Amino acid sequence: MQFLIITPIALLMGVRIVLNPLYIILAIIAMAITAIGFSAFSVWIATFMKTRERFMGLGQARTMPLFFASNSIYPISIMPPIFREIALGNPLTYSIDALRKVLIIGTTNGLIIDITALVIFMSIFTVLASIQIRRIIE
Amino acid sequence: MYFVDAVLAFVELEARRIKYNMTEVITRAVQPILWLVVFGPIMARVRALPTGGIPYVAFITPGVILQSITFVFIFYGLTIV
Repeated sequence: MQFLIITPIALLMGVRIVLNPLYIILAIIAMAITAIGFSAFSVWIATFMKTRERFMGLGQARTMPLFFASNSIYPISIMPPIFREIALGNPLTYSIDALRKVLIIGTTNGLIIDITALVIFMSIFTVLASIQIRRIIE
Repeated sequence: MYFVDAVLAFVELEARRIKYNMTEVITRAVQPILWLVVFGPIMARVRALPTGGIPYVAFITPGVILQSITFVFIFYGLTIV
């Protein structure tokens, strides 16, 4: 029941500098899991919405905290303690960590933790979205 | 194989939409390019952030990739509203 697109990822990939071609497959898997998870999350939110405007407004309110409460532009270790806890519950943190290990540093140490967290996140929201969609259709 | 068919249908829908409207590719690419070209080098010059020995632009590259992916997919539920 999940609706996913893999095509834009490839397009988004082609623009970037890739330093280590060996681990690209792993990176694509991590990105695909993240993408499925977030589209399921988005579909789940959308089932509660009555109008498009409300969804768009809420979209901005969701993306910016997700982005800034992750380790994307600064390491978690220099955050204030409260935000550190929030960042550890943020799925983006894990996927960025996985991608950074694989593409930039080039190790697979601790990659299993990141992937596990992402798979858990993805399955939770896929199940929630499927249940909610079925209820709405009926 | 119903599931695979359904997924492929959505992939085809998305591919056709992009083929029909190429501007979407450009508009999606502008923001991450700005992050990498403008924000990255400027913040790298400050040298305020402990990145663990990697160059700052390389440090933010995964973040920028995933940020653009997330921003596309977080609005994907719009198709069913």
